[in-house]
Amino acid sequence: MKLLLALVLAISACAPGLDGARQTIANTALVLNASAHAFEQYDAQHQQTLAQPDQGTLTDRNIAISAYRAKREIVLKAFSSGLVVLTTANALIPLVENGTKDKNDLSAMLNNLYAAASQIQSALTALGVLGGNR
Amino acid sequence: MNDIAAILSPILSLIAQLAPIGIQALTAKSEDSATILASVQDAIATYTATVNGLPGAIQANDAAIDAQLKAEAEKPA
Repeated sequence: MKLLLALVLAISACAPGLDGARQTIANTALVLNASAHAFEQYDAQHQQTLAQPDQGTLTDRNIAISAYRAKREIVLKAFSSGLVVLTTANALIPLVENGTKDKNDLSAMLNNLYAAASQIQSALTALGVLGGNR
Repeated sequence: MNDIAAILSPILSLIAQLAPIGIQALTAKSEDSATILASVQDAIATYTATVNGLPGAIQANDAAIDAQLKAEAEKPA
């Protein structure tokens, strides 16, 4: 996952111009999509783990699952924010193309994409989907 | 007049040779841009569907776990 995000950043750095920006948007969307599916799978498996009798009493397990679900909200919000940033970025390209917006707006848009991807990565790490937090 | 023709002739010849290459390059670039544009639309549409479907998928996971725990709670000791 971190590798894929790094790949997006590398492609962005190497591909100048509007086609490069479009490619960056597409790659970011693909990486975030794969992350969302990974999260969905993790969610089912992790809740199943938390629900197992060896994790404590029924009360303990219910508390642990509730706590996990509360923490999970930040990931859902991050994925939604990522979608807004991607859609906004995509809408900006034709405006740069026709001169309504300039290259600085494009750079700001790319920075927003990195920020959104990083935010999702942080949220997934905090939840334990990424890293050794499981 | 002949001098001008002598100067223009190799230039026109060069343009004639390069024009098909230039047109080919422009066409190739245009196709690449169209491909990239289509891939952006596809990628965003796919991600949109995934994000919109996420709450439902999560709710299904929750329901499965809740049912499992409820069954355990109602099981006679």
